[in-house]
Amino acid sequence: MSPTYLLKIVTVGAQSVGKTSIIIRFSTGAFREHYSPTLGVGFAYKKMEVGEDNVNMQIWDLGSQDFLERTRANYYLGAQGVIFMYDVTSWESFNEVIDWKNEVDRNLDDYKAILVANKTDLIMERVVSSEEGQKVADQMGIPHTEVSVRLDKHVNDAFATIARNIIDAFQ
Amino acid sequence: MDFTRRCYTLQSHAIQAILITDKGGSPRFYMQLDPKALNMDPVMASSFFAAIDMFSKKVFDESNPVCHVDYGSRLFTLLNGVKTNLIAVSIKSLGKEVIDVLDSLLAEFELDWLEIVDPFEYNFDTSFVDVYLEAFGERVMERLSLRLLSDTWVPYYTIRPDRPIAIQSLLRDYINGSSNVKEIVEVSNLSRREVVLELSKLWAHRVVRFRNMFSFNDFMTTGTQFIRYVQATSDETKDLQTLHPGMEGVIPHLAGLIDGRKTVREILAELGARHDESELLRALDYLMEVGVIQALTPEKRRILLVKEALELALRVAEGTYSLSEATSALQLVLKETKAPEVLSQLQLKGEKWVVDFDFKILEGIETRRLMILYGEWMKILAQFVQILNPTKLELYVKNLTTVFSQRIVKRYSALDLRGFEEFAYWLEILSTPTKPHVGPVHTSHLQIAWSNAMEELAYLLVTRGHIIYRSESITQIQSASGTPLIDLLPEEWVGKDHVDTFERVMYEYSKLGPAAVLTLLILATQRAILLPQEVLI
Repeated sequence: MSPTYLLKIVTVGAQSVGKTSIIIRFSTGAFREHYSPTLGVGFAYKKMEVGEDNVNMQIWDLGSQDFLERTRANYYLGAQGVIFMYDVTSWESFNEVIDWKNEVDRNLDDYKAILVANKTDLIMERVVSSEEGQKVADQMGIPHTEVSVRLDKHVNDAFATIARNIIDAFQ
Repeated sequence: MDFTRRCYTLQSHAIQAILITDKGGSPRFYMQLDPKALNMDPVMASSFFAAIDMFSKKVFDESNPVCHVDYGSRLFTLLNGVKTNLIAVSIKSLGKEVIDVLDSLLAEFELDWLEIVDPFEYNFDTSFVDVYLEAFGERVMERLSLRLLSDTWVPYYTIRPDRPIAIQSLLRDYINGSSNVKEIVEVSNLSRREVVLELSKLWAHRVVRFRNMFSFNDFMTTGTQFIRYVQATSDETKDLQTLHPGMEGVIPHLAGLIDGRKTVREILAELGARHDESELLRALDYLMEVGVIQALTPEKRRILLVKEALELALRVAEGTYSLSEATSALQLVLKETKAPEVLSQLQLKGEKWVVDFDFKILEGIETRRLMILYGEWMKILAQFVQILNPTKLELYVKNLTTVFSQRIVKRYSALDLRGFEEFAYWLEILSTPTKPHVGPVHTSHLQIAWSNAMEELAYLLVTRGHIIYRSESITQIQSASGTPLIDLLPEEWVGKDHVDTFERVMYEYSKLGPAAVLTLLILATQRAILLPQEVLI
């Protein structure tokens, strides 16, 4: 029988990039239409199969506001995976990715990560290209993927990728 | 493309308006399918969409026949035709069935109607609406009909009563300006569907409009042009004296009450002793029709809620701490705030911070920005409470919960409360002295795919509670309520009675502190769950 892995993943990124929405979509299949800032922390989990392995993925949704930095610091503890997110319609959110990496590095020694670009369905408003996203992911040494939480495109793949990378590191 | 004229009508769609433009960016046809939706300027919109169409083809090499532009809660669907483009404005994504109907309407327009308005009569001396194509409008309505025609709306003719109506209608004798849709259905012996179709046809020919398009729970606000109706010498007031004698005397009384934070019901209650209710409603209808007052949109209602919450948080802080402590706490928070739409609405009057509720500041702001501004107000509220002296925080949160339960939770709808639970979680975090739980959360049989609202609430309380209060607290709730919580599925918490068991869990959770009570109040209201009597404030 395959082992069941319990993984702690955190999501970080600028405000309104879709951190809470991606977690809700992944764990419940629903899409949250309204925006609301996460104050403190949110939590969701999903049991899934990754290859032949069973995974209980516990995802911690960290609020992105500046004043929450000290609160966030508590919740990084024990995380094995980090999802860095940005919004393809916002340069600001893309430029903040490196700042988020610096914050995670201050709080975690060893972790696997993925760079996730959201809102690819907003074709007309898109300002960050796939190539630019890939370039930053390469600099960070992590995989890059593009998703649309609204259209439920590639959301599960993003989580499966990070789970696979963490499990592979165990072996 | 399907060129056949299907005879069925889509009864349910999300389209608010349809615009057809030529490839050069001139409007050819515009029609509102939602009488409540804000009017779009067809000339300006046509140029905008022509530019977007060109941009998407050149920059993204996007040559799809259908593409979407998302503006927060408004979605624009662009359909490319041979000579023209059709743009549908909607509040959510359109299904394939609706897009097929639009596609065939566009084909029909190009084949049967485009030549009629070609060369197009529009020029800078002629208003676009003057060359409106009624006959094609009727075809649109045959296929799509009016969106959301409420039973309480009252149709009335826009033409003079003595002018004959060129168009035949089954409703001719029933539209009298005072019977609402429900009453017309009753007296006409027509089905609701037939009445909707007839009204849609009359709407397409622009011979009817509607009154009573707001609900009593709508929050009303004025636009910048409203001032003209309270100036005795303005052209608008003079017109009003001719068109609706007497109304010019009612509007000034309404003026002070349409302040962005009172509902229609509250306005009527305030003036009920001095004016007849129907007189007040007629004046509100008129002001809405001329576009100088409006009901707050869902996004603006959420902003109003959080602004009221901040004002209450300030007043409660002045009472629990002191005026100077409350004032300087907000002063400190505002040093870090940048959004001009927020900063300009917080005014220091004397030594007291006052929230300005005038919504004109948000005129013309698109939905995505409104959502960001909601986030800014939430951030200020959260930071303000965080800065207050922690030694009195428990008392403060207790007082705040009492005030919020009366003035926020009871006053606003479940939809308005969306997202506000985050503030209650924040209060729980701030008022819990122990460090949060950061390790794995014991989820066992707890389900995330809920079959009912109670299970969803149980999931939120157990997981969030686990993190904020640590697992020991959840174990205590488990033993005090005699409920296995995470070791059994919520549907198996039957005991003697599922609801009783669940109520015990809620009661035990409320004992964690006043912030936990606020969380319960908000989450339960959002899900229409009745709280046990012991938890209610």
